[in-house]
Amino acid sequence: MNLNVTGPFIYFTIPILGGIPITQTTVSFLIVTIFLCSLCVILGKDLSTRPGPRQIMVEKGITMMQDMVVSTMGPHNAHWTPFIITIFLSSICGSLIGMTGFLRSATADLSCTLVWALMVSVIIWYNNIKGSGFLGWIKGFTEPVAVMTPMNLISEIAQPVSMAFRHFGNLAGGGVITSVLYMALSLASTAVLNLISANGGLIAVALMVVGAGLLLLRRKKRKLSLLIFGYLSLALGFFGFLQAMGWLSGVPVLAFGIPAVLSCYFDIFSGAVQALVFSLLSMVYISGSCPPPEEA
Amino acid sequence: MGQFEALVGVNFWTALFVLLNTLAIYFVAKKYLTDPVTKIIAKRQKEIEDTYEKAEQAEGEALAMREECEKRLSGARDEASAIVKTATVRATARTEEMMTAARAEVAALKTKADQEIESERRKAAGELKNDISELVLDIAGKVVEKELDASTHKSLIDDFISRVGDE
Repeated sequence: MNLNVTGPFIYFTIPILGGIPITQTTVSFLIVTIFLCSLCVILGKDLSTRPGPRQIMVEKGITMMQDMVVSTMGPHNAHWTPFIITIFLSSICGSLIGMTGFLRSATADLSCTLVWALMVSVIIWYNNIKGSGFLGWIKGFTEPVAVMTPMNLISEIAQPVSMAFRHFGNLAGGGVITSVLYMALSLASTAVLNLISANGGLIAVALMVVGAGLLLLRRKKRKLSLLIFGYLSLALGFFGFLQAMGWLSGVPVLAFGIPAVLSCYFDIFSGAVQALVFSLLSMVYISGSCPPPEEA
Repeated sequence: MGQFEALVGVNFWTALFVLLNTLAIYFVAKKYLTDPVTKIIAKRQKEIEDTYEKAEQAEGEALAMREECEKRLSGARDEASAIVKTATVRATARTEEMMTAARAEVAALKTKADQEIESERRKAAGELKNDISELVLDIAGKVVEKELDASTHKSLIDDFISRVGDE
């Protein structure tokens, strides 16, 4: 069994300008865009000064984001809220769309995260140039001493690269680990079931009996370990028996259920955390280039 | 089976597409969500402040009105007591006047009555004198058996009677 770790699938290529590939990322992010745009339009409709439940929720959410932006970047940077909301929602939706199964997470493509990181960098450079002029910005690289120039340049480039790779790596890594896990579990299930179904299903029947015995024992001694091992033995015996009868050729039984737990971590948790980290880092970097007015 | 992209790699077109979509999301979110929501929150804030201001103003007005009412009420009370006082004074004066007038009238009546009594008395006394003098003449004529000449002795008798009457 081979495990191919690849990037997004290319559905087709538009044959203009040297071929524009339409990949899974394109489709996923298009769906995310349409979803978020319609969400924004729907949520921002029919606002009144006496709000209903929907508007209260919307206002709560917006105010929460605004508070976060203000507390991280300072009140003079409150106008960055829509950008941070955009980055945050795009990131989290782009990550969670991978859970649909037939779409790939848009954020598991370096093209996507690198663009966002570069957007942040461009904003920072624009602010720096606006603040101290183009020459002043260039001169800033030679500070505190001219010898530091290469270091400063590297750190300037490393910032978007690290941001992009952090987000991309977490999501793509999660996907890779999930597919590795699926393969490993199907291999394991084949091996285990072959082992159990040896001797014409005798071991399988024995395991079922043991499992049933453990469950019966649990009626007298209420212990959790008895329950777990009882059901485990019963299930293994049952599937081993099916395998021995030849009704279960090649179905990776162990791959049911178990990956869901890891998927919870890699898809939901990791996606949410990376969205938060990405937007927090954006806020911190942008606020670094937008000092408070009295200092500027 | 179609083609796959490399796991780690940047596709320019995908990147451009993501950039455009992100910008679209940004502008839509800004125009349709954050700006209206921020505006409506600010508007509500202003409305609340206006309401409070109005309430404070109304309270001030009510307080001023109450003060004025109290002032007017106390003025009315003063006026009423002044009216009562002047009325009392006037009534007292009038009573006094009437009493004086009554007294004067009574005194006049009394004087007149006295005078009348006096004149009556005089008149009575005069009549009595005449009666007595006639009586005395009669009696004296009977005594002396001789008719007295009334005209001769009249002054004598009158003199006598008036002396008697005066004593």
